[in-house]
Amino acid sequence: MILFKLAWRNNWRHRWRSGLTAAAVVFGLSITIWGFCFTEGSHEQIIRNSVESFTGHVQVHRKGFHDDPSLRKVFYPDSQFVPELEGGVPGLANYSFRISTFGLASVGETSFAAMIVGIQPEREQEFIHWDRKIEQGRYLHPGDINGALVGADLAENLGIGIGDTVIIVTQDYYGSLCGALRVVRGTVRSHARELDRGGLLISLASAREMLSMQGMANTAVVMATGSEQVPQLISELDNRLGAGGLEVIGWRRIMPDIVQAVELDNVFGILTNLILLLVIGFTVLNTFLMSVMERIREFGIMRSLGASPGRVVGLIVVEAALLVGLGFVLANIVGIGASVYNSVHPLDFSEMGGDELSKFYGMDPRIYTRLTWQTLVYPNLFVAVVILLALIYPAWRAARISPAEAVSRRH
Amino acid sequence: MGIFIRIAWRNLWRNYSRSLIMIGGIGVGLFGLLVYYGISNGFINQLVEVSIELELGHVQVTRRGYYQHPVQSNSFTPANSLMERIESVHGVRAAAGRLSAAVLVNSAEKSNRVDLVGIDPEREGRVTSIRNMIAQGEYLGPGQDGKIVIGRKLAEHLGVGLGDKLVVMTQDSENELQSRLFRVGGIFETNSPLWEKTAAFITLRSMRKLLGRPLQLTAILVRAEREKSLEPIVAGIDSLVTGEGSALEVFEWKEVSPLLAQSIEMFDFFVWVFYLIIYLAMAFGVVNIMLMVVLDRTRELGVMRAIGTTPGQVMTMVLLEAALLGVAGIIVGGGAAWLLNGYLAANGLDLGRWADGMEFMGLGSVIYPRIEPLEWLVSFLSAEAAVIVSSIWPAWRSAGIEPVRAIQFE
Amino acid sequence: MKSIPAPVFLLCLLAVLISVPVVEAREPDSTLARRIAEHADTLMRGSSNSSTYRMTIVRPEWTRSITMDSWERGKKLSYMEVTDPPRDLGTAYLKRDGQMWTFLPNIERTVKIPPSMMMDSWMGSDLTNDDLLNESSLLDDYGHELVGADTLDGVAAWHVRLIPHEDAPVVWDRIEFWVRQGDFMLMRDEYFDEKGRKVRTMSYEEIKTMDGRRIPTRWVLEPHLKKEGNRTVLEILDVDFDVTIPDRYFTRQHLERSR
Repeated sequence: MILFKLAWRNNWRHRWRSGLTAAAVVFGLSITIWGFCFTEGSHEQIIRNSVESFTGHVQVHRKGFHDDPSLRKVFYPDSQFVPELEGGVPGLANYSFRISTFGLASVGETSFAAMIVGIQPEREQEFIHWDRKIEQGRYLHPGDINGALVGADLAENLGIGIGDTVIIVTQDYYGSLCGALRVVRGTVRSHARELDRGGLLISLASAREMLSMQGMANTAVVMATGSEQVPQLISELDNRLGAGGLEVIGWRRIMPDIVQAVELDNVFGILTNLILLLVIGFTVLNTFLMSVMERIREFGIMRSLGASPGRVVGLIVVEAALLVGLGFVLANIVGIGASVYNSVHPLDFSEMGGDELSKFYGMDPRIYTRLTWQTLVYPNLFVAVVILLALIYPAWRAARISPAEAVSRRH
Repeated sequence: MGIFIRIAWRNLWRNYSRSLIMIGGIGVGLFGLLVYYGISNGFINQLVEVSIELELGHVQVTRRGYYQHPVQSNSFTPANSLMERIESVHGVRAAAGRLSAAVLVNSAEKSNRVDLVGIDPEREGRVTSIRNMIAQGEYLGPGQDGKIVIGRKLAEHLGVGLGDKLVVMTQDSENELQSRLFRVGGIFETNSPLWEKTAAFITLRSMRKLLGRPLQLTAILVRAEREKSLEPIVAGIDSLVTGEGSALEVFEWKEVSPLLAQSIEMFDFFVWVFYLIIYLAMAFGVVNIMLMVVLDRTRELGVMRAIGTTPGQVMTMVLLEAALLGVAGIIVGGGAAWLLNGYLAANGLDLGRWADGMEFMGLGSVIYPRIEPLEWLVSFLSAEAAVIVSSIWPAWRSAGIEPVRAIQFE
Repeated sequence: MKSIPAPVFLLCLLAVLISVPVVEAREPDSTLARRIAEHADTLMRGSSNSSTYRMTIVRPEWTRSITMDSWERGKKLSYMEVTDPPRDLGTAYLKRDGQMWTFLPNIERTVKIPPSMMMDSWMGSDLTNDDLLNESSLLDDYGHELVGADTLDGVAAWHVRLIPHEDAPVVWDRIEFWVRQGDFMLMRDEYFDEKGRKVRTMSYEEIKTMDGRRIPTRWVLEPHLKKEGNRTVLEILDVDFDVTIPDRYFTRQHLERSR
């Protein structure tokens, strides 16, 4: 207890220096916490946007479809999928079925390659939120067999608008060339570039009819209750569906480019934070070292009165702990406070050029910070490590002080 | 003044461990800043390189609506000597015409959709830097109408090398399918995987023949003498082409590629924020140390005051000491950054582990950091300024030390 | 893949080869190869025929057959219509002036095949749209060289090599083909890329007499390079050579006529 009193008194004796050091810790740590929350938030947003733009968290296909897609590789949802899910699957929020294939979208003499996707309009609306992606016109009504949604760029290239008829040409399940006429109900501006440039969405019922694929699907899009649940969801689905010849694939495998972009951004985020923390570390090192150097006499006397080197180091450490501890507490209050605030009131980058960028990368220009235990624990750990490093030399120096040195060195 | 510098210099070494710590703090901060800046700048340069240097030039002249609907039928026939007249506009270095179309390129193994660009090799060489991107083979010569220059990724995808055959298929002006054989004359490498996969070049003459558009162009690319201040050039060219029946329009690259313009803006913003944060963190250290310096020397400074040194001179002396420390920090941090940057600029920073992620961001996987001489200077000066500004308060406190109080101290 | 073995082309080529047995089996001389090609080319241009054939697409997991009636005149004009299976009945293709349209009976619409789809599979087979549309000429686009006598599947054959001219819009490095010694019956051709890899093989089997000519009636196209196990078989069920086909057969109106 006496140690604490001593330490506190010494910190107080140099209140400017102590205050500045604590402030530096508060500054560095709170910015790092907020920075981590910001990075995490923007990544969560990129992932959510990508997942919700089209792919879902998890996709289920017939084995082999993912590596070598073919219209022949189908499954029967009513017998192969739905029954296996009975009793509920933990982490599963929603799912729907699709048929996707490639073909031609044609108007007059103009034709373009198109990715034709049959979707279940009501089911997908719940998690893909198609209605938010409609640029013009409206979403597909339930039971709309004749309607189609067309990627905005594709519609522009074809020169068609709402109410116009588009000819779809593709091969059906049996390989026969088939055509279909669909009326454009809306144009889609998602954040998936392939979809905007070549997407042609019709209802699953309509696709099944066109492609002679009654009762079949080639993709199940599954949404987890949260991105954290995805790994368990994949293994659970794999357990239940694997035996039936189905393959379960998570978004990390579906979109490896996004996974890497996020990873890379994390590396840069950590590096920049590290630079900041090193600079802070020098301030802390300076304070500790000075506090040792100017008390060589004092420590010498302590030693000559019988205090062990350990006790001297203990005093230094407790002093530092008091100072830094205060800094940590304040930093976490400030950092968490700012992060929570920005998780409700997002940062809006649309004013300063985030518009096109967000369009390109498929993001909302408003970025919400996201506080998780990682964004809290890692910055605190980083700062603690940096401060411990800064404490090593001063503590070592203090331990080496001998009574003789203290006397010989007059301040 | 000289005496104060000498005193400040000597003072610096009175407590060298303290000085070293401060130098270390400033050095690490500046080192981090410069390395970060170099890499960010490398990212931006990659984007700019592909967009301005290869695709857009500084200013473009196209038929009205071409960029909304970039198809070959949206081409135009330039009036006689339009090129020369554009080049005579003040600030224009060179201009080059292009005729582009979406085509299918086939090898025996595979086929791929490609944006084929017909270029006037000589003029193009003065406007864009495709010529410098050739990694294998050679750039198109004026007579090489049977050659095609493709990107490394496309060559890999199609499974072809130098001298191999490619058949280009496209629709001509009469909507008839045309096939023409080309041989790979050159393979270019850029930092944009996407562009390497989707762009190819042949001579303007063979492109015109292929499309059956003997005089047409889809765009004229203009290179300015200086990248900044493109407005007068746009206006100048605009007044030239209004005479063309106003079927043409003139753009700055920013208008054609707002994404790039905004990426640069965004990167600049983040760099600015990072500088601010690091300088603030440095300021904590500087204030802390300089305050200690002043408190340590309360007695000494008091004596100096007592023998007639003015508060201004005391303050100057403290500021000078900080300034010297700043310079030392800048030499250490800037020097280390200069070495690392120089190494990475020469060898590249290979982020191949994240190649797909880089591609997602429209980038190649090797980054070449770049810092212009002026940017070095600005970084050094701003760091020095940050150090001096941070020591104003401790210096001001030192000026407030009274002679009498000092003698009474202790 | 700019190539030759479209049913259109093959019918013509065969018509030629079979109708030229005048060129007796003599000692192979340097002009023999060229003369084979020459005859092929001339007759191909002038030839017109109507035929019925069946195309069978073989995949590792499934097989399907389509029967078609075809009319063609020269290299520029052709018209094809599916007669079986019922689900494909009435699907038709028109080739004219380097463009291709397809008629879809279920929606009664015509769609033009865009250049970007030229390399896509034709009706799910190993043939591409371009194989059907292609107008390259054996005579104009290739140089010919008689490699020599050879034995193929136990039959004496002449081995002929076609090497594309410098600027011919052909992706192949060369085409090797074999004709039977004695009657010049086409036996096989192989297509090579510039790396020397065999890209595809066409074999000609089951020689029968049709409309007074001996022709192979079964052609098997096999793509190589990662597509092993795939195969497209064309069988000529009936053919009439040198028939008069009205001009209207090769019009959009004919393609779109109500049926």
